[in-house]
Amino acid sequence: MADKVNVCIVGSGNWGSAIAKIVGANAAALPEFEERVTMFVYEELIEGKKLTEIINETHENVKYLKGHKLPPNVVAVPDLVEAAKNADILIFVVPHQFIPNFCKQLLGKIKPNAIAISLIKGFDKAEGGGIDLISHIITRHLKIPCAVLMGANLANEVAEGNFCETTIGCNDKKYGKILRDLFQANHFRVVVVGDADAVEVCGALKNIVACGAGFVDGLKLGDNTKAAVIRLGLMEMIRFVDVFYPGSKLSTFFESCGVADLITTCYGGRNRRVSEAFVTSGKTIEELEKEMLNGQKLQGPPTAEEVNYMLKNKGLEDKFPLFTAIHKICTNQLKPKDLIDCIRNHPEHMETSIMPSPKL
Amino acid sequence: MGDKHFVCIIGSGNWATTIARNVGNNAARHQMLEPLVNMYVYEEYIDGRKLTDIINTTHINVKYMPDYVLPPNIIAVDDVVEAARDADILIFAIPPTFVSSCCRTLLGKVKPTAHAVSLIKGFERGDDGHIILISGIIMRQLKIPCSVLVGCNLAHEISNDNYCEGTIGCRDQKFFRVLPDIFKSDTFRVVVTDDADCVEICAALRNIIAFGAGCADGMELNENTKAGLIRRGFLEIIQFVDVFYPGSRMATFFEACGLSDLVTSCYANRNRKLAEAFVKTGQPLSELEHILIPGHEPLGPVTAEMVNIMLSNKGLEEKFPLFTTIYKICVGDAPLTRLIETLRFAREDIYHPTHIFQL
Repeated sequence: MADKVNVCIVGSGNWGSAIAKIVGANAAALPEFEERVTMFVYEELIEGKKLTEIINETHENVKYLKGHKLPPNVVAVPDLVEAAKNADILIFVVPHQFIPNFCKQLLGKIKPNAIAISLIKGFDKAEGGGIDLISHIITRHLKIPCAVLMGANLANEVAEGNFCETTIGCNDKKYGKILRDLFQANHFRVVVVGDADAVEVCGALKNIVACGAGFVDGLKLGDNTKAAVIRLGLMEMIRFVDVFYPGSKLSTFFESCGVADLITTCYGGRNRRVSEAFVTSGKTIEELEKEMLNGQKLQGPPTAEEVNYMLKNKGLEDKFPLFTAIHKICTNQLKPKDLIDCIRNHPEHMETSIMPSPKL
Repeated sequence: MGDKHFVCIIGSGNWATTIARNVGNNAARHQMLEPLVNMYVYEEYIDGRKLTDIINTTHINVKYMPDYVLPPNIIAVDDVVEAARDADILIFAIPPTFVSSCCRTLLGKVKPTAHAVSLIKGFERGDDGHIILISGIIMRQLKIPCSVLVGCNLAHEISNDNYCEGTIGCRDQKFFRVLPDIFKSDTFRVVVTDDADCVEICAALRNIIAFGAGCADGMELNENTKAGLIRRGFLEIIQFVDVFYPGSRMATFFEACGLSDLVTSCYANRNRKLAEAFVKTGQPLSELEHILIPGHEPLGPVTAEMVNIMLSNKGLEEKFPLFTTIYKICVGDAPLTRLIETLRFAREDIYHPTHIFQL
């Protein structure tokens, strides 16, 4: 890495702009970073004016984060390669479907010793089925290490300066400090763990559980039932990571990316909201996405589908009754009210009893 | 002990009556249980009729659960010694303040081989200000082992047959299999663990965090901040158990008594409601509790105080920043803003530092 670390933010949506506020301020304040931070902005015309020009003149992303000033050292660049070519740290914060294409454009054009960090919640469908983690796609395409940042963070709340915690998963210890320094702020507390896959998978799986929480809300089953869904959901998340990403640590689930993000998503997130409406309105998920999310896709149902594919392949559907039931409800193979029947005989009830587990 | 276990329920309030239905239904068809179940009912007159008579003829506890029919094999008895005399399993579901006197009445009158199960929420204050678990009082006074059932804090949700989960902390291997069979139903799942102290103390400590969550709601902090608070609270609960009840198991915190109860309390609980009003109105807690939760002791502030005594005796206040801050907010020693500062500056390595890089 060069004397001063160059940072590029790839993406300028809601979350990208919110994080640019923190990253820009840190780059300006800390000696180890180059002050100028480039931000790749997909060029659009806003009332006849280029978005990059608006950002560079007014320091406001009027399209995606209206009302918040970006630090002046964050420079909007309309060309991806131009923005990224000198970067030592590439922050990816774009919708996940753009990632393969972006990586193709960047291949061979970035510094070979650069590192990436993905803030993208979600995943891609692996060839043939199953989950392909975004950080794995980036590493595979660009041949550089990729960390992840996940947590109970809503973009607007972070931009407002409300206090949040977040988790960086970074497999290579030596990048932990620089990444923490880049993202840490007074109102944005960062913990670095060495368990990147678990951190990223948590970010995807919690959306399945949130659908279950939404069904419970829609069925008006009450707080105890919902807490049971959250608890069993966490157990299945832990078990899933244990099966498919072995070597992960239990402690990672205690970080913001685990318990905290799961709870917020099950009480506040849009997967919960739409799933509740799915039960109360009787409409399909697609119809509700159009009505409630302006056609944006919900992450819970497709995640449930890919997870179900992975479980089926290993003959493990029975061991994950909650994930399985939620997938079947989303695809109309089960009625929402059948959710409870599916979790009533959850293996957690059978196996954890009597069986001693390690002491603290 | 005979072939079949006699079961007796001590108490006839809301929670006792709710669980009596499960117990009655299970006793009626379980081969290890005597079908008739005694329920000790504190005698009262309702419209000139004895409550025990009403329950034994109509099978409805008109005073506490008027919409709820009990199985006919639940027999109301107005004398606690008579109700409990032949019992092999004694289920305690009375307010915590009555436990000591009830045990004194029963001492020497129950079978020496009997096993107690406490469904009582709350705890007592020791002479040194420490928390004393209710099961500990029962064991000390009656000299029989006492298990605990924890994990459902909203009786009406069980009675409505909403799906719920509970955890039994069992203190006698012999009862491992039969205890869940006594309480469970199609909509109430019960898991047994032998980690009884941990199960019971979890239920007490969550009141502190629920109070903190209510403060966060009152300050109108956002969802992310609240989730951060719950997470930090969960860690301090684990750490507290590790210090004061060593030998507990990590898995217990993932049972209903741990995570689910904590989450439920932080979103729907009297403590949370009280704390929210405390912040929004600025009125003292002592006034608010009479208005908002008449007849109930606000467990959050009380628990916070006892926990604080236990921590300061060991010089551990700084290692438990959230518990300490919530206590100080309750007694007016710290401004509300301290809550966020605590989350912001709490050291991350106080709990299981192994996974965190030394930066």
